[in-house]
Amino acid sequence: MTAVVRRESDAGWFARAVRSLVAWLIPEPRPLSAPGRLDAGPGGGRLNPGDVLSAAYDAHQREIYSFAMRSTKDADAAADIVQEAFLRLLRELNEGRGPDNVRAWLYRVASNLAINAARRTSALDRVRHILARPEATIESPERSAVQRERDRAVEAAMNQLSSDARTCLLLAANGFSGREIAAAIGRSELATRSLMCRARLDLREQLEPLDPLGEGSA
Amino acid sequence: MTGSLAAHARSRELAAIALDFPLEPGEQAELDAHAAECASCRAFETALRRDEAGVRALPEVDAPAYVRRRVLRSAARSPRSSAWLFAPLAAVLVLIVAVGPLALQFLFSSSGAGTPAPSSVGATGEPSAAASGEPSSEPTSAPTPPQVEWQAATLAGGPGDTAVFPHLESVTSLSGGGFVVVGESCPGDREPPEPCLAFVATSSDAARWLTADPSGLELEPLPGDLQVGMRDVVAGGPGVVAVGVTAADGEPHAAIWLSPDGRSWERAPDEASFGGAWMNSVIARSDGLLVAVGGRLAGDGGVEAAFWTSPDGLGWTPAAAATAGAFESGSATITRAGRTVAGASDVAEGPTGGLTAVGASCDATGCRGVAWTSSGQAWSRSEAEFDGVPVAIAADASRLTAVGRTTQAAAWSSEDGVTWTSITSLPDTGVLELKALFATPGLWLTSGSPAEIWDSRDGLDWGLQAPLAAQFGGGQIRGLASGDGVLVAVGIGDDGIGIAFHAAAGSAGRSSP
Repeated sequence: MTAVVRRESDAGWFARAVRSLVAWLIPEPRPLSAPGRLDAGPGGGRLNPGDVLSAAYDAHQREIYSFAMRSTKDADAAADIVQEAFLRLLRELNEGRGPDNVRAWLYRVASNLAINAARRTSALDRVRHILARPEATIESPERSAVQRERDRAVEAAMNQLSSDARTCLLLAANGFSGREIAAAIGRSELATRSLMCRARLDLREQLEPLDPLGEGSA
Repeated sequence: MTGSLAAHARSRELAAIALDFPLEPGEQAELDAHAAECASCRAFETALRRDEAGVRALPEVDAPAYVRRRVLRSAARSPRSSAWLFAPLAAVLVLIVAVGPLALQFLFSSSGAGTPAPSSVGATGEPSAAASGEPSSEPTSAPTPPQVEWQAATLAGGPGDTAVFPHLESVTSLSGGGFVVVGESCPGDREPPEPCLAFVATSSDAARWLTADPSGLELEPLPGDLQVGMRDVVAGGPGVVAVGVTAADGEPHAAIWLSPDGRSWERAPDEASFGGAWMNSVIARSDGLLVAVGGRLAGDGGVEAAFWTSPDGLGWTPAAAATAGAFESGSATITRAGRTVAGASDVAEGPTGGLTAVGASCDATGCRGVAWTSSGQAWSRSEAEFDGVPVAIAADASRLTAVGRTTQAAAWSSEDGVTWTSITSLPDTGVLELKALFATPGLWLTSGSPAEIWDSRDGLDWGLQAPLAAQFGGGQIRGLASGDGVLVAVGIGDDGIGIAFHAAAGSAGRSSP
């Protein structure tokens, strides 16, 4: 495989500009059905991948980043996951395979990336003395003090769970069903059912001292 | 089911499952029946829903701004970006009207990615005299821009040399010709951990590589996020010297390997100073002294920069700090891509013959770039404040250049290793994070993530030479070398498999304006 890199010459630019003009005037025929291809709607025409990506980024970066950070407990890793997920989306868009449900697709990719990242950080307790960096958390000053306290409790409880368990609970909290979560993390429904059951029971155990049965949050 | 405790446990399990999965009819009936008689389990079910709501209510935060820049700039450079279509449109319309016949001939005579130079097509559409080799009476066009043709390298093994490279970290040319590349074939995510191997391969032309004898390359994996393996290689000592890290007693342990030819290797004798340490880079100074840099675990849980020297590769002496605290590199160990960020990352021999190392100091708030200098004995810490973290450094006869990651500029220049200034001809970390740097008289190369090759004649003015990522499908470059008129780039692909490329040096170094 050979790649020839050339600098832009005046003639090359001109030829490509002419070809682009022709392509614009005579668009290539669109297939009758193209799963995953994005349409502009009744007005016809094709959505520009860059525009779609920009819109998708603005719409979903916050939740994907927050999900990734809580899943990995690592702000740097979360940023890498967000970047990688959206760049993969761009690749899909460029190939004409834009997902029908961009949000679900992003969560699936981010879940896989987070789980892979977590598998490289197993047995952290054995080297915790050299990983003195405080675990990444998100605090929101706009929330009430009581809610912030509750948030801290939930975050701390989540941090005691395994990365896979944490990822599953975060996906569920973002509206995904057990079946969708199983698909996102690449496990069978039976295995995911067991994993999530354990995760919820462990979370309850962690929160019990702060939120005993019979009492609710303010 | 017998016993109330078992019934309670079963009920609570079913209540937890029901939040995410539909229960079987029998399970639902079991849950309903127990809940009807057990207030405690009803409260438990309510608490589970409360916990779910608590997770759902956790606040969100925006991703760092640089992530947005990177993503959207990639979109802007996408080949299907609309800006690329519309930008020349107005000019093209005018040109079409003015030179219609010529435009149509140009359109139908051009093909593929390459475009013939204008002098090869005359006004009549016939090949010009220049293209046919005869003297031309047509006006000549501007000189053809420089080309650097990169190709993917192969690793011997499998049908058609389809063996796969593992993670590749560094490459060097040998004084007698040929190249050596090193890396690791133990990504660190094995469960349970198993012994793994450092990876070494050699090549005479950087196009086809042969895996070296694995004897003597065994590694012990580190738990957690830290990866073991060879991290750098240089021609020197008994032939070739490689440095890196393995594990001992669950902690990092610096390691050095020696080879006469890059094909067969053995571990250099262990030293007390290797315990709790790691080596990131090694160079051979102009007088033959080998210098290795890295880091070590400090007694207080932090990290210190670490430096060693050796006259022959066999015996290594830890270097001293010129002043107390010069090696301190922070109170926390930040890991990134399997490496500890704190400590010294790379070293170079500067224009004045002194040594300069770059690296970082990290604490709970993040990492900051640091430089150290030495005349060969003790090391001093520079007071320079980098607006980022330099990870690689190289030098020619007039300057040092360091590259890395930052929010402003990805590269810095210095004449003495003490005072540094930002280089603006390279894009910032919003676009490019640099990981590898190479310099030889008249040619500088740098690359990183994404895998774009940038070159320069002087280490100051840089130009994009080759967008390898766009051509070969992504990845990051972690090692660069040049020798015998050949350029070499190695690293890791997006799919975790190693990548290696080679090119004829040709007109490399003239990409800058």
